[in-house]
Amino acid sequence: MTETLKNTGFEEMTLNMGPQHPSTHGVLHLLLKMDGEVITEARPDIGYLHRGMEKLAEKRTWGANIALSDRWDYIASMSNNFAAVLGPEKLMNIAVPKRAEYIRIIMAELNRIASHLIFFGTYGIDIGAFTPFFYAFREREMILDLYESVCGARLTYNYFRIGGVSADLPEEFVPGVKAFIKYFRPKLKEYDTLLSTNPIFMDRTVGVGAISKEEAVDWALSGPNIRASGISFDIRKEDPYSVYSEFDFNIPTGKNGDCWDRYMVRMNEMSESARIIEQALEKLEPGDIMAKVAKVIRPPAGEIYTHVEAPKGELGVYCISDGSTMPYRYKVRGPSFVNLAILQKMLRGLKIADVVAVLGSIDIVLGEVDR
Amino acid sequence: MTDQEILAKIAEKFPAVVESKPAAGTLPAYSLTVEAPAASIAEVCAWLKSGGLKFDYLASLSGVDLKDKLQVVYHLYSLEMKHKLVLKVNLDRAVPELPSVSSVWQAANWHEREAYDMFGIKFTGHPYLERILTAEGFEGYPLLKDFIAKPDQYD
Repeated sequence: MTETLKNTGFEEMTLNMGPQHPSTHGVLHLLLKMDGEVITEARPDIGYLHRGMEKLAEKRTWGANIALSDRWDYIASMSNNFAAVLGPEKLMNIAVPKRAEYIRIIMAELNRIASHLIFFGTYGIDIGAFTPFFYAFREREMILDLYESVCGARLTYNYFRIGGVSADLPEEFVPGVKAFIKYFRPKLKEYDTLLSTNPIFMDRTVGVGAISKEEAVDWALSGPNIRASGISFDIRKEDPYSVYSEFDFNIPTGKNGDCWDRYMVRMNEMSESARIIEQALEKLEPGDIMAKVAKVIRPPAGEIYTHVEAPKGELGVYCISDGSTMPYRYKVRGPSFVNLAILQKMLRGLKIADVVAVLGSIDIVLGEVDR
Repeated sequence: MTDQEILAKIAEKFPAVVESKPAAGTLPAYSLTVEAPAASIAEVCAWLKSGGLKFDYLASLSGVDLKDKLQVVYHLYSLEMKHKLVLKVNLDRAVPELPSVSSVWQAANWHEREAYDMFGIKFTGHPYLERILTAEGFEGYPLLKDFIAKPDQYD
């Protein structure tokens, strides 16, 4: 109990935020202990969306796990697919055809834009600006339409296969992506005038919830969250998978690690993703989309930890195979789960009004936190 | 730094930490893998972080049920020196206990809670070792291979 509380005779208050609350982006329960308006202790209570993904994975074939992976971070399913196929492919030493690699990268980067657009829209709402949401969802809709033309699904794509992808691109896809990129680039400037440099928005985010470099590493943050603190850590550069080493792109970083920096890193990442997509479209040539893979996937006994740079950070899968058709152990290291843990540290000492600004800036998806 | 150099440095400081050889018939390890005794894991990790090897980033911490024993696997990475290490600790299935490393890397805090929730592995010295993902009042440890799910109102 603080001095003020003792002197005034007031008591510490416990406040439950969520699990049903529009700003928690799903079913997250925050237990806040308050000294007036100041938070003295914060405890995130998670697990409301726990579906036992890792246990389910042990009872499904390696291929079926790709469909399951769609449900981790359900707004960036392509990246999840990517993480789900890399492990068995490396264990079985499968060389994926070049065309499939480029298609995968186009899909993953489009998904990064779609995921960051959701962040942009919902973060605006969290702070109190309603309009960005409509802008963001208008653009995201175009990406979903492109996905629909390729694999028929708009959210749970199940598009990747061990050894390639499930279907070749339809004729209208490449012109569609080119048209989208051309349309999308000027929109990024529009977003900046709309929200990024808006004085009210900056008042709410600049200097709020700053994470130092040391803290970011200590809590093993990844993705835009660690980069906003000034550490240029990106799996695509650090430990390149697929054919990412062929592309020329920058890693946007922040300086102060506050909410605004985390926001800006994501905004800048979208234009870098657009650059990667353009390069991949140029390299795209006709060819196979699937490697020659046995009908029944049986990776030899062994283990591997593979990771990809998902929109939210390092998405790792630790696979252990015992040589059968199903994984022996399938641990999913979700970036949202790890990034959310720092919240208990960050919220301490902040005012209650900043909780939503800080939580929104970490950009979590509860499907991935709870798995 | 090459894997051999890392291994030599670790062996010099902790002779009990040895390279883990994959069982016969399994693929060779993709990255350097070492095994450490459970009792000294906190000291080993503290040295790995602050010693010359600078493993400052705990990428992942997983529990594994190998039927005859339990295992905790740490995937470590050094942001500064760009090398990685897989650290394994074998545990007795009857008394799965080892010191917590959450004071070394804060990131271990929730990972250890998850391993406790799923495997019943007790991390001594953890600041708040409570179940994290399963529902309140859940019995048993679901990721153990001998776990039998109790049918509930939805089954």
